[in-house]
Amino acid sequence: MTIHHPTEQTLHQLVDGDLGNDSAATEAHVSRCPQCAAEVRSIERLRRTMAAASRSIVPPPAVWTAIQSQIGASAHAPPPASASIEGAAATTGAPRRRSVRKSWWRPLIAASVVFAAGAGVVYLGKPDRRSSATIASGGPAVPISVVRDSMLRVAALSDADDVIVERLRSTIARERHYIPADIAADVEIQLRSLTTAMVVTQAALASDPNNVQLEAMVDRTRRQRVEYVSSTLALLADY
Amino acid sequence: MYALRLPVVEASEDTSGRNAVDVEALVRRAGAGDHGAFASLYKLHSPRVYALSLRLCGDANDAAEVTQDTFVSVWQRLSTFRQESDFGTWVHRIAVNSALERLRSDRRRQAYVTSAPMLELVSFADSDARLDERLDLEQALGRLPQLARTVFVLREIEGYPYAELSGLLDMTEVALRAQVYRTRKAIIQMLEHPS
Repeated sequence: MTIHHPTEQTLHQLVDGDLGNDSAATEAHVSRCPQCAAEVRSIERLRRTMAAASRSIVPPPAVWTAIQSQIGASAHAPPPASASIEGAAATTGAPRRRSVRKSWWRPLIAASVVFAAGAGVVYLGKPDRRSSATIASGGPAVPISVVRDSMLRVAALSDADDVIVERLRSTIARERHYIPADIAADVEIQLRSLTTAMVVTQAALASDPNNVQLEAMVDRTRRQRVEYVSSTLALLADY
Repeated sequence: MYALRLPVVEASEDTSGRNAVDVEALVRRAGAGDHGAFASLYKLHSPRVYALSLRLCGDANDAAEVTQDTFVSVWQRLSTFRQESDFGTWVHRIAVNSALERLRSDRRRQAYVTSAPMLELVSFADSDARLDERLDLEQALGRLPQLARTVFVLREIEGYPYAELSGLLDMTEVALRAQVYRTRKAIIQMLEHPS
Protein backbone atom coordinates (compact mmCIF):
# COMPACT_ATOMS: atom_id res chain seq x y z
CA MET A 1 0.00 0.00 0.00
CA THR A 2 1.36 3.41 -0.91
CA ILE A 3 1.64 5.88 1.95
CA HIS A 4 0.98 9.48 1.07
CA HIS A 5 3.16 11.66 3.27
CA PRO A 6 2.41 15.34 3.73
CA THR A 7 4.71 17.64 1.78
CA GLU A 8 7.66 19.23 3.56
CA GLN A 9 5.90 22.56 3.29
CA THR A 10 2.87 21.12 5.08
CA LEU A 11 5.04 19.86 7.93
CA HIS A 12 6.64 23.31 8.29
CA GLN A 13 3.20 24.89 8.30
CA LEU A 14 2.09 22.41 10.94
CA VAL A 15 5.01 23.38 13.19
CA ASP A 16 4.30 27.06 12.57
CA GLY A 17 0.63 26.62 13.38
CA ASP A 18 -0.30 27.85 9.92
CA LEU A 19 -2.49 24.94 8.84
CA GLY A 20 -5.57 26.12 10.65
CA ASN A 21 -8.50 23.75 10.34
CA ASP A 22 -6.51 21.47 8.07
CA SER A 23 -4.07 20.49 10.78
CA ALA A 24 -6.01 17.52 12.18
CA ALA A 25 -5.35 15.18 9.25
CA THR A 26 -1.67 16.06 9.17
CA GLU A 27 -1.31 15.66 12.92
CA ALA A 28 -2.99 12.28 12.69
CA HIS A 29 -0.54 11.22 10.00
CA VAL A 30 2.47 12.49 11.95
CA SER A 31 1.34 10.64 15.05
CA ARG A 32 1.61 7.30 13.27
CA CYS A 33 4.43 8.01 10.81
CA PRO A 34 7.92 7.83 12.37
CA GLN A 35 9.50 9.45 9.32
CA CYS A 36 7.29 12.53 9.40
CA ALA A 37 7.38 12.66 13.19
CA ALA A 38 11.18 12.78 13.08
CA GLU A 39 11.05 15.61 10.56
CA VAL A 40 8.62 17.56 12.72
CA ARG A 41 10.85 17.05 15.77
CA SER A 42 13.86 18.38 13.84
CA ILE A 43 11.98 21.50 12.82
CA GLU A 44 10.67 22.03 16.33
CA ARG A 45 14.15 21.66 17.79
CA LEU A 46 15.55 24.20 15.36
CA ARG A 47 12.74 26.59 16.22
CA ARG A 48 13.52 26.24 19.92
CA THR A 49 17.22 26.83 19.34
CA MET A 50 16.50 29.92 17.26
CA ALA A 51 14.08 31.22 19.87
CA ALA A 52 16.82 30.86 22.48
CA ALA A 53 19.40 32.79 20.45
CA SER A 54 20.77 35.90 22.10
CA ARG A 55 19.31 39.18 20.87
CA SER A 56 21.35 41.59 22.90
CA ILE A 57 25.04 42.46 22.78
CA VAL A 58 26.60 45.66 24.01
CA PRO A 59 28.43 47.32 21.10
CA PRO A 60 32.06 48.44 21.44
CA PRO A 61 32.42 51.82 23.24
CA ALA A 62 33.98 53.24 20.08
CA VAL A 63 30.56 53.13 18.43
CA TRP A 64 29.15 55.61 20.92
CA THR A 65 32.25 57.76 20.61
CA ALA A 66 31.70 57.95 16.85
CA ILE A 67 28.03 58.77 17.29
CA GLN A 68 28.88 61.50 19.79
CA SER A 69 31.26 63.09 17.32
CA GLN A 70 28.57 63.04 14.64
CA ILE A 71 25.80 64.52 16.73
CA GLY A 72 28.03 66.85 18.72
CA ALA A 73 27.30 65.35 22.12
CA SER A 74 30.84 64.94 23.38
CA ALA A 75 30.50 67.30 26.32
CA HIS A 76 27.21 65.94 27.56
CA ALA A 77 26.80 62.26 28.00
CA PRO A 78 28.89 59.59 29.62
CA PRO A 79 29.68 56.63 27.36
CA PRO A 80 27.00 54.00 27.82
CA ALA A 81 28.28 50.70 29.05
CA SER A 82 27.17 47.17 29.63
CA ALA A 83 25.46 46.68 32.96
CA SER A 84 27.24 43.39 33.35
CA ILE A 85 30.64 44.92 32.75
CA GLU A 86 29.92 47.81 35.02
CA GLY A 87 28.66 45.33 37.58
CA ALA A 88 31.92 43.46 37.41
CA ALA A 89 33.85 46.69 37.79
CA ALA A 90 31.78 47.64 40.79
CA THR A 91 32.33 44.24 42.34
CA THR A 92 36.04 44.17 41.84
CA GLY A 93 36.93 47.82 41.97
CA ALA A 94 38.41 47.53 38.51
CA PRO A 95 38.99 50.65 36.49
CA ARG A 96 36.52 51.32 33.69
CA ARG A 97 39.16 51.10 31.02
CA ARG A 98 38.11 48.41 28.59
CA SER A 99 39.56 46.53 25.72
CA VAL A 100 36.76 45.98 23.26
CA ARG A 101 38.60 43.13 21.71
CA LYS A 102 38.51 41.14 24.93
CA SER A 103 35.13 42.23 26.17
CA TRP A 104 33.18 39.19 25.09
CA TRP A 105 34.52 36.94 27.82
CA ARG A 106 34.42 39.45 30.65
CA PRO A 107 30.87 38.83 31.91
CA LEU A 108 31.55 35.12 32.09
CA ILE A 109 34.72 35.69 34.03
CA ALA A 110 32.86 38.13 36.24
CA ALA A 111 30.48 35.32 37.10
CA SER A 112 33.37 33.21 38.30
CA VAL A 113 34.68 36.06 40.42
CA VAL A 114 31.64 35.62 42.64
CA PHE A 115 33.08 32.35 43.85
CA ALA A 116 36.58 33.53 44.55
CA ALA A 117 37.32 34.00 48.22
CA GLY A 118 38.98 37.35 48.68
CA ALA A 119 39.32 37.88 44.98
CA GLY A 120 40.34 41.49 45.47
CA VAL A 121 40.93 43.69 42.52
CA VAL A 122 40.68 41.97 39.21
CA TYR A 123 41.49 43.90 36.11
CA LEU A 124 40.73 41.90 33.04
CA GLY A 125 41.98 44.10 30.28
CA LYS A 126 45.22 45.57 29.18
CA PRO A 127 46.03 49.04 27.92
CA ASP A 128 44.81 49.29 24.39
CA ARG A 129 46.87 51.44 22.10
CA ARG A 130 45.02 50.68 18.90
CA SER A 131 43.24 53.34 16.93
CA SER A 132 39.52 53.78 17.42
CA ALA A 133 38.95 52.43 13.93
CA THR A 134 40.65 49.20 14.89
CA ILE A 135 38.77 49.06 18.16
CA ALA A 136 35.49 49.54 16.37
CA SER A 137 36.23 46.50 14.29
CA GLY A 138 36.00 44.37 17.40
CA GLY A 139 39.37 42.78 16.83
CA PRO A 140 40.63 40.43 14.22
CA ALA A 141 38.22 38.00 12.66
CA VAL A 142 38.67 34.41 13.73
CA PRO A 143 36.97 31.62 11.82
CA ILE A 144 34.47 30.03 14.16
CA SER A 145 35.84 26.57 13.42
CA VAL A 146 39.22 27.65 14.80
CA VAL A 147 37.64 29.03 17.96
CA ARG A 148 35.55 25.93 18.41
CA ASP A 149 38.53 23.61 17.92
CA SER A 150 40.47 25.71 20.38
CA MET A 151 37.71 25.52 22.97
CA LEU A 152 37.39 21.77 22.59
CA ARG A 153 41.17 21.35 22.80
CA VAL A 154 41.32 23.44 25.93
CA ALA A 155 38.46 21.48 27.42
CA ALA A 156 40.41 18.30 26.81
CA LEU A 157 43.45 19.77 28.55
CA SER A 158 41.32 20.31 31.62
CA ASP A 159 40.82 16.60 32.16
CA ALA A 160 42.84 16.66 35.35
CA ASP A 161 40.52 19.24 36.85
CA ASP A 162 37.54 17.36 35.53
CA VAL A 163 38.45 14.36 37.66
CA ILE A 164 37.74 16.28 40.84
CA VAL A 165 34.57 17.76 39.34
CA GLU A 166 33.35 14.30 38.49
CA ARG A 167 34.18 13.23 42.03
CA LEU A 168 31.89 15.97 43.32
CA ARG A 169 29.12 15.01 40.92
CA SER A 170 29.33 11.34 41.82
CA THR A 171 29.31 12.25 45.51
CA ILE A 172 26.16 14.29 45.01
CA ALA A 173 24.58 11.44 43.03
CA ARG A 174 25.54 8.90 45.67
CA GLU A 175 24.28 11.06 48.52
CA ARG A 176 21.23 12.34 46.68
CA HIS A 177 18.87 11.06 49.35
CA TYR A 178 20.61 13.17 51.97
CA ILE A 179 21.36 16.33 50.03
CA PRO A 180 18.45 18.75 49.45
CA ALA A 181 17.58 18.97 45.77
CA ASP A 182 17.94 22.74 45.68
CA ILE A 183 21.48 22.55 47.00
CA ALA A 184 22.42 19.86 44.49
CA ALA A 185 20.92 21.95 41.70
CA ASP A 186 22.77 25.03 42.89
CA VAL A 187 26.07 23.18 42.94
CA GLU A 188 25.48 22.00 39.39
CA ILE A 189 24.72 25.56 38.24
CA GLN A 190 27.90 26.87 39.88
CA LEU A 191 29.92 24.08 38.31
CA ARG A 192 28.58 24.85 34.89
CA SER A 193 29.29 28.55 35.35
CA LEU A 194 32.83 27.94 36.46
CA THR A 195 33.47 25.39 33.74
CA THR A 196 32.18 27.72 31.07
CA ALA A 197 34.26 30.58 32.45
CA MET A 198 37.34 28.40 32.40
CA VAL A 199 36.80 27.20 28.85
CA VAL A 200 36.06 30.69 27.58
CA THR A 201 39.05 32.31 29.27
CA GLN A 202 41.32 29.64 27.87
CA ALA A 203 39.85 30.13 24.42
CA ALA A 204 40.55 33.86 24.80
CA LEU A 205 44.13 33.06 25.73
CA ALA A 206 44.43 30.73 22.75
CA SER A 207 43.52 33.62 20.48
CA ASP A 208 45.86 36.02 22.29
CA PRO A 209 48.64 33.83 23.71
CA ASN A 210 50.94 36.73 24.66
CA ASN A 211 48.46 38.40 27.00
CA VAL A 212 49.97 37.81 30.43
CA GLN A 213 46.91 39.13 32.23
CA LEU A 214 44.72 36.66 30.39
CA GLU A 215 47.16 33.94 31.29
CA ALA A 216 46.88 34.90 34.95
CA MET A 217 43.12 34.96 34.64
CA VAL A 218 43.09 31.47 33.14
CA ASP A 219 45.14 30.22 36.04
CA ARG A 220 42.94 32.04 38.54
CA THR A 221 39.74 30.70 36.97
CA ARG A 222 41.00 27.13 37.05
CA ARG A 223 42.04 27.49 40.66
CA GLN A 224 38.65 28.95 41.56
CA ARG A 225 36.93 25.96 40.02
CA VAL A 226 39.09 23.48 41.87
CA GLU A 227 38.76 25.44 45.12
CA TYR A 228 35.00 25.57 44.76
CA VAL A 229 34.81 21.86 44.15
CA SER A 230 37.17 21.06 47.01
CA SER A 231 35.34 23.26 49.50
CA THR A 232 31.97 21.89 48.41
CA LEU A 233 33.22 18.34 48.81
CA ALA A 234 34.43 19.22 52.30
CA LEU A 235 31.08 20.77 53.15
CA LEU A 236 29.20 17.76 51.87
CA ALA A 237 31.40 15.47 53.94
CA ASP A 238 30.22 17.33 57.03
CA TYR A 239 26.62 17.50 55.91
CA MET B 1 -0.28 21.13 19.19
CA TYR B 2 2.88 21.79 17.22
CA ALA B 3 2.63 25.53 16.99
CA LEU B 4 5.49 27.46 18.51
CA ARG B 5 5.03 31.15 19.03
CA LEU B 6 7.57 33.34 17.35
CA PRO B 7 9.23 35.90 19.58
CA VAL B 8 7.48 39.21 19.28
CA VAL B 9 9.58 42.08 18.04
CA GLU B 10 9.88 44.13 21.16
CA ALA B 11 11.23 47.56 21.81
CA SER B 12 14.21 46.20 23.63
CA GLU B 13 14.89 43.48 26.13
CA ASP B 14 15.70 46.24 28.58
CA THR B 15 12.65 48.33 28.02
CA SER B 16 9.78 45.95 28.54
CA GLY B 17 7.14 47.27 30.84
CA ARG B 18 8.87 49.01 33.67
CA ASN B 19 10.75 51.48 31.48
CA ALA B 20 7.93 52.34 29.12
CA VAL B 21 7.13 55.68 30.74
CA ASP B 22 10.78 56.54 31.21
CA VAL B 23 11.50 55.83 27.57
CA GLU B 24 8.71 58.14 26.54
CA ALA B 25 10.18 60.92 28.65
CA LEU B 26 13.67 60.20 27.36
CA VAL B 27 12.46 60.33 23.78
CA ARG B 28 10.77 63.68 24.44
CA ARG B 29 13.89 65.11 26.04
CA ALA B 30 16.18 63.72 23.33
CA GLY B 31 13.87 65.15 20.69
CA ALA B 32 14.34 68.53 22.34
CA GLY B 33 18.10 68.18 21.97
CA ASP B 34 19.03 66.59 25.31
CA HIS B 35 22.16 64.58 24.59
CA GLY B 36 22.10 62.91 28.00
CA ALA B 37 18.64 61.54 27.33
CA PHE B 38 19.81 60.31 23.94
CA ALA B 39 22.75 58.55 25.60
CA SER B 40 20.28 56.74 27.85
CA LEU B 41 18.21 55.70 24.86
CA TYR B 42 21.36 54.45 23.16
CA LYS B 43 22.26 52.45 26.23
CA LEU B 44 18.83 50.84 26.27
CA HIS B 45 18.50 50.02 22.60
CA SER B 46 21.98 49.63 21.12
CA PRO B 47 22.55 46.03 22.33
CA ARG B 48 19.57 44.81 20.32
CA VAL B 49 20.63 46.81 17.27
CA TYR B 50 24.21 45.58 17.48
CA ALA B 51 23.21 41.92 17.86
CA LEU B 52 20.89 42.18 14.88
CA SER B 53 23.57 43.90 12.80
CA LEU B 54 26.17 41.27 13.68
CA ARG B 55 23.96 38.48 12.45
CA LEU B 56 22.84 40.24 9.30
CA CYS B 57 26.26 41.56 8.29
CA GLY B 58 28.38 38.73 9.61
CA ASP B 59 31.16 41.14 10.41
CA ALA B 60 31.88 43.10 13.58
CA ASN B 61 33.15 46.18 11.76
CA ASP B 62 30.06 46.39 9.56
CA ALA B 63 27.85 45.80 12.60
CA ALA B 64 29.52 48.67 14.45
CA GLU B 65 28.99 50.97 11.47
CA VAL B 66 25.36 49.92 11.05
CA THR B 67 24.80 50.62 14.74
CA GLN B 68 26.44 54.01 14.36
CA ASP B 69 24.41 54.85 11.24
CA THR B 70 21.24 53.73 12.96
CA PHE B 71 21.62 55.96 16.00
CA VAL B 72 22.79 58.97 14.03
CA SER B 73 19.68 58.51 11.91
CA VAL B 74 17.53 58.12 15.03
CA TRP B 75 18.95 61.38 16.41
CA GLN B 76 18.29 63.20 13.16
CA ARG B 77 14.73 61.85 12.88
CA LEU B 78 13.62 62.09 16.50
CA SER B 79 11.35 65.00 15.68
CA THR B 80 9.43 62.77 13.26
CA PHE B 81 8.85 60.01 15.80
CA ARG B 82 5.24 59.71 16.92
CA GLN B 83 4.94 58.95 20.61
CA GLU B 84 2.04 56.57 20.11
CA SER B 85 4.43 54.21 18.31
CA ASP B 86 6.86 51.93 20.10
CA PHE B 87 10.25 53.61 20.16
CA GLY B 88 12.19 50.34 20.27
CA THR B 89 10.34 48.98 17.27
CA TRP B 90 10.96 52.23 15.41
CA VAL B 91 14.70 52.02 16.15
CA HIS B 92 14.73 48.37 15.15
CA ARG B 93 13.18 49.16 11.78
CA ILE B 94 15.76 51.85 11.14
CA ALA B 95 18.50 49.38 12.03
CA VAL B 96 17.13 46.74 9.67
CA ASN B 97 16.95 49.27 6.85
CA SER B 98 20.51 50.44 7.56
CA ALA B 99 21.78 46.88 7.52
CA LEU B 100 19.89 45.98 4.34
CA GLU B 101 21.17 49.12 2.64
CA ARG B 102 24.72 48.18 3.55
CA LEU B 103 24.27 44.61 2.35
CA ARG B 104 22.80 45.74 -0.95
CA SER B 105 25.55 48.25 -1.59
CA ASP B 106 28.37 45.86 -0.84
CA ARG B 107 28.27 43.15 -3.45
CA ARG B 108 31.80 41.98 -2.81
CA ARG B 109 31.26 41.01 0.75
CA GLN B 110 33.93 39.04 2.48
CA ALA B 111 33.06 35.63 3.81
CA TYR B 112 31.02 35.51 6.98
CA VAL B 113 33.53 35.50 9.76
CA THR B 114 33.38 35.21 13.48
CA SER B 115 35.24 37.64 15.66
CA ALA B 116 35.22 37.98 19.40
CA PRO B 117 32.01 40.09 19.63
CA MET B 118 30.18 37.54 17.53
CA LEU B 119 30.92 34.90 20.10
CA GLU B 120 28.80 36.88 22.50
CA LEU B 121 25.86 35.79 20.40
CA VAL B 122 26.76 32.29 21.37
CA SER B 123 28.04 32.72 24.88
CA PHE B 124 25.35 34.81 26.46
CA ALA B 125 22.13 33.46 25.04
CA ASP B 126 19.43 33.20 27.68
CA SER B 127 19.23 29.55 27.12
CA ASP B 128 20.10 26.16 28.47
CA ALA B 129 21.13 25.11 24.99
CA ARG B 130 24.63 23.74 25.00
CA LEU B 131 27.51 26.00 24.05
CA ASP B 132 28.60 23.77 21.18
CA GLU B 133 25.04 23.64 19.84
CA ARG B 134 24.88 27.42 19.79
CA LEU B 135 28.28 27.58 18.13
CA ASP B 136 27.09 25.11 15.50
CA LEU B 137 23.99 27.19 14.91
CA GLU B 138 25.90 30.42 14.40
CA GLN B 139 28.33 28.58 12.15
CA ALA B 140 25.44 27.21 10.12
CA LEU B 141 23.97 30.69 9.81
CA GLY B 142 27.32 31.91 8.55
CA ARG B 143 27.33 29.33 5.78
CA LEU B 144 24.03 30.52 4.36
CA PRO B 145 23.84 32.68 1.26
CA GLN B 146 23.19 36.33 2.11
CA LEU B 147 19.53 36.40 1.13
CA ALA B 148 18.74 33.17 2.94
CA ARG B 149 20.45 34.45 6.08
CA THR B 150 18.69 37.79 5.94
CA VAL B 151 15.26 36.21 5.57
CA PHE B 152 15.98 33.61 8.21
CA VAL B 153 17.41 36.01 10.81
CA LEU B 154 14.60 38.53 10.40
CA ARG B 155 11.87 35.91 10.42
CA GLU B 156 13.10 33.21 12.78
CA ILE B 157 15.17 35.20 15.26
CA GLU B 158 13.70 38.67 15.09
CA GLY B 159 10.13 37.48 14.56
CA TYR B 160 9.15 39.75 11.67
CA PRO B 161 5.74 38.91 10.16
CA TYR B 162 5.85 37.68 6.58
CA ALA B 163 3.74 40.61 5.45
CA GLU B 164 6.28 43.12 6.75
CA LEU B 165 9.23 41.14 5.41
CA SER B 166 7.56 41.14 2.04
CA GLY B 167 7.70 44.91 1.93
CA LEU B 168 11.22 45.12 3.34
CA LEU B 169 12.78 42.60 0.99
CA ASP B 170 10.52 43.06 -2.03
CA MET B 171 9.56 39.39 -2.09
CA THR B 172 6.15 37.75 -2.08
CA GLU B 173 5.01 36.04 1.10
CA VAL B 174 4.89 32.74 -0.74
CA ALA B 175 8.51 33.13 -1.81
CA LEU B 176 9.51 34.14 1.71
CA ARG B 177 7.86 31.09 3.26
CA ALA B 178 9.53 28.82 0.71
CA GLN B 179 12.86 30.48 1.52
CA VAL B 180 12.38 29.97 5.25
CA TYR B 181 11.44 26.31 4.82
CA ARG B 182 14.42 25.67 2.53
CA THR B 183 16.75 27.40 4.95
CA ARG B 184 15.42 25.44 7.91
CA LYS B 185 16.06 22.24 6.03
CA ALA B 186 19.58 23.35 5.10
CA ILE B 187 20.42 24.31 8.68
CA ILE B 188 19.03 21.07 10.07
CA GLN B 189 21.21 19.17 7.62
CA MET B 190 24.24 21.26 8.57
CA LEU B 191 23.61 20.66 12.26
CA GLU B 192 23.07 16.94 11.81
CA HIS B 193 25.96 16.51 9.38
CA PRO B 194 28.53 19.19 10.27
CA SER B 195 31.11 18.03 7.74
